[in-house]
Amino acid sequence: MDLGIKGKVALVTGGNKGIGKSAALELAREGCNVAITGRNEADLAAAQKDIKGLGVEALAIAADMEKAEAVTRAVNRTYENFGRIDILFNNAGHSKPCTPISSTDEDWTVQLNIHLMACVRTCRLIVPRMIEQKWGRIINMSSMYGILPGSGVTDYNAAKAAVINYTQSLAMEYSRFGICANALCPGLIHTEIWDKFADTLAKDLGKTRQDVLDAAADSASSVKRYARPEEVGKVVAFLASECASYITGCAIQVDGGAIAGIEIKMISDWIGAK
Amino acid sequence: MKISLADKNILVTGGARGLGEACARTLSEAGGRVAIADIDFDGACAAASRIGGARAYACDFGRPADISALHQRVQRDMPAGIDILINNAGIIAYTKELKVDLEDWDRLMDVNLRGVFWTCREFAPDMQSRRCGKIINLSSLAARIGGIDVGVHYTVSKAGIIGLTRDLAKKLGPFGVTVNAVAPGIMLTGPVKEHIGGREDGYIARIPLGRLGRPEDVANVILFLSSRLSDYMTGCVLDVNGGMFMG
Repeated sequence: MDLGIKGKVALVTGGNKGIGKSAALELAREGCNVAITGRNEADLAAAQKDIKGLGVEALAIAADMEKAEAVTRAVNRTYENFGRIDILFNNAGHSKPCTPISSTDEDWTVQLNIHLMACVRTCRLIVPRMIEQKWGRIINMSSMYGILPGSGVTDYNAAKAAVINYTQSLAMEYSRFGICANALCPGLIHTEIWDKFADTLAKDLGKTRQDVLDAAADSASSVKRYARPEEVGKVVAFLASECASYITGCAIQVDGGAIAGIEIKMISDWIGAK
Repeated sequence: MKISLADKNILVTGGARGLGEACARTLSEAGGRVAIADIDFDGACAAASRIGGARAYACDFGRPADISALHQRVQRDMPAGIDILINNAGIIAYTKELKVDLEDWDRLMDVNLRGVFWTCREFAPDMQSRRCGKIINLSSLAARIGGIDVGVHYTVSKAGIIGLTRDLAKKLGPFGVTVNAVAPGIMLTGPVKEHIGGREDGYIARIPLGRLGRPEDVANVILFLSSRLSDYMTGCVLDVNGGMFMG
């Protein structure tokens, strides 16, 4: 079975590292031409080089997807360069620790802008053209915390829940035009973000980074391990493919059985112990 | 990318027709060695020969002794063990009557729910000891939103599949065995076509993707769940319903 997306054009936001870069590489392996956005230009250039190495065209756009004008610029640049966008992976995002009452208006605005509004803004520009093409795949990055909140990242939880709901609205309205829209809900994926988070916790608790990562994997997944970013990237390629043409409006969990077992409380406990 | 299941031993229950046959064909085309088990042995043989290179077995999944015997025979024919188990065998029952006969309830539950558990109970320990394996159980849209035309016993059995899937995912996860469910929407298979014949438009109007499902739609998703692409997914229910229920 071939995934059947050779020659399609994909825009991957936050495609310079982590899950975004993995997804961009998987799509490139499938023969897609790929545009990536990112804030760190060195990472962006490296990712562009890796994608090109797979024999497809790669466009790198320095852009902070939190900003409306940067979103518009990134989408326009992609259209100028490739003439079309078939696959949109809204992946850019970040978070910082907070509680339900410590997060400021500004923190909330940042979280809603980078997660929810970046989806809304890209879709406003891209969906009308996907409708004309009568084909499109939208994959919006949510999180296992978009299904059930995790402790210590309240504004992020809410923004990720909103992403699922928004994605379902997209599916409801535009699936009949051949556009499948799904949200992706990863669990513990071993990226730089987790290393940083683990380092902070480890310091507070007098443990090592590996202690924290092991404890998280043990208690927050049924498979007792972190995923490699490419294990999410491959799911993105599947959702972008012809194989997934009857899946729309879903929140696809790639969490090693975290939600299944509802065992995402370890991180909460550790933060609670602080 | 070509999704390859080369060298994988695969058992598809209820593979003589419909979704099961489509699934067996797709997995076989991906390079897997497929065994089809069905209560209708002639049907299983016919499907196996249509697909080519597949084995056929007789099994009534309502009878645990049959399932244990199936395991023995499959193990003898495929000594390396089953890598991918597709629990698809099931009874569909159309009725809007609340007064489901006790006999009908029991027979349906025996096949649709206990049969799936018993099949896992037979085949999973070997997967556990080899620290690999993928189990995919067939649930249904009915488990998500209640039955549209199907009987309450069918809906309950398919909801039970979701609980079974999550429980087994948790128990087998530490051994590298993943367990997921697929919940198809309205699929154009024989019994469904027969049942909704002439009323297709009424259903299509409620499907955001604007078409009824094809067996291949589900078979492709099962291929994905059988492959390395989904290695970090377990305990999931994948809805393949064109947007009729968004979960």
